[in-house]
Amino acid sequence: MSKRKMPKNQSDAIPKWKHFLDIPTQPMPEMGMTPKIAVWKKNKSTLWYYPSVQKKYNVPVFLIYSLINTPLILDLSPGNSLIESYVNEGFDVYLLDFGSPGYEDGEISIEDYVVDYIQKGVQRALLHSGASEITVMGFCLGGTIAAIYAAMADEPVKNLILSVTPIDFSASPFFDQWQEAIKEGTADFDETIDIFQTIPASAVQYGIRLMTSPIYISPYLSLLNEADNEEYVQNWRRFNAWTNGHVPLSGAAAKQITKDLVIKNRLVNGGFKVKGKKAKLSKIDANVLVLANKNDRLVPQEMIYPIMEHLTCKDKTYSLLKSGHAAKQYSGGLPPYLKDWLPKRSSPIQ
Amino acid sequence: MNMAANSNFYKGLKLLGAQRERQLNGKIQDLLNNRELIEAVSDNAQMQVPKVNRMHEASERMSIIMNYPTKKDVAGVAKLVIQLEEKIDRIEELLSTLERNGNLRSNTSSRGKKRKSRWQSNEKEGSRKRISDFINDSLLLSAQLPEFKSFGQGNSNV
Repeated sequence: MSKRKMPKNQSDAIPKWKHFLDIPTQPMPEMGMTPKIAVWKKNKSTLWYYPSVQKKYNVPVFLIYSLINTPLILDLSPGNSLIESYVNEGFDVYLLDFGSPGYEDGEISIEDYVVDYIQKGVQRALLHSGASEITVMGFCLGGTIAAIYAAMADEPVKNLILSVTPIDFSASPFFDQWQEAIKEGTADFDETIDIFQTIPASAVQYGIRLMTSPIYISPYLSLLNEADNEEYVQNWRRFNAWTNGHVPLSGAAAKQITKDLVIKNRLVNGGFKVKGKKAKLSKIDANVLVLANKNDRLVPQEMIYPIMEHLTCKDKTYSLLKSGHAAKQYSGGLPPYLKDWLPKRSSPIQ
Repeated sequence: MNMAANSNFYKGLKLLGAQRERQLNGKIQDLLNNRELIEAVSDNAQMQVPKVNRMHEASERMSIIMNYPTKKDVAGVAKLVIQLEEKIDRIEELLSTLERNGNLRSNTSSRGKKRKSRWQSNEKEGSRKRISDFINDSLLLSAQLPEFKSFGQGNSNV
């Protein structure tokens, strides 16, 4: 029997450090428990459908997560899940999970992801749902490619929600010396990437860790401090599993991110093309909600806000929240910034 | 009293740890944010590229004698599977478009002037072109047959 499941007075008598040491022996809590159905598969990608509990809106939500991590964070556990919040609120949800690219996927570029995966996925979601319009929501780098897609989409994208989405890469606060060397071509990793075809998941993880927190002990000290709190421990372990669950990045996508986004900053400066078609942010005609977090060290708002200056659509909203890059808690319902914005733009069923 | 002291200890440890972590991270990042360092790493990586390529080539040559598949062979098979999947995907799309168009036609005739959405009309307009493109790109090219002009004109080879 788990020590943490003892009666309160007995459990209190056990020091926190003993609880802490006991944690790895406990079974891993379940994740991604909202009911879902796979409606389309392409290569490693899967389009998941999460039916609403009671459908209240005609416009379904299409979620695009980052290319370098799994979308598990969107459905961590019951009561702490954005997807669960959407379906409880009456939205049908589609999630495009890019999966984990292998050696054979090294040639998949950002353009390919936009046209062959996102555009096709949106078309599939529209066909499956029978809806005439759709809401696209992108997170982090997934938001960047969602914005690129919305800028050249033929599909009826009614709403576009960009959460912690980097747009202006010139404002990146990390390793400016490295960025300069890469921009000037004195540091170049293209040939190395060609050998491996993908950037391995461990390299992605260490790269992100290097940018945010090379020494990573505070989360463990937080866990030690709350080691006798069963709920905290379970949530911590789920979040930690997601934090360490990076996926490889295809070589062509990595090179396009470096050249078109970081070096040329083409989303802001213009000239980003998808299969020969210009993807200008000013062409986005959907209603746009841009979300930034005040304490986000990975994607600060200086990288996010410039999209507002390039959007020419009439309905655009910028919302600055107080949390960090991925610290979101959903207590059953939609968070206020979504609840105030999305339902009235999603054709409520009368 | 003892429990409160313990609780304060863990809380204090957490705060102290977070503070030290921030300081150390800042120092490490400042130390690594060095142009010469990234250039040296890049140069070193580029120096390794020909060596790794030679090893890959040797492995390819060995695979002929030893009769084992290399990573490139496996990737080649995986790419073929992906191509096949894409073809099936396109057939699926065409079938669903045809089905939708059939439904649309019957709905339009029964309900008269029902307004179509932009998405639905685009789908209908695109369906003819996609069908002939698909036949030309996928079926005829792979079968090395003469070009198919357009859907509905008939072709005894198909």
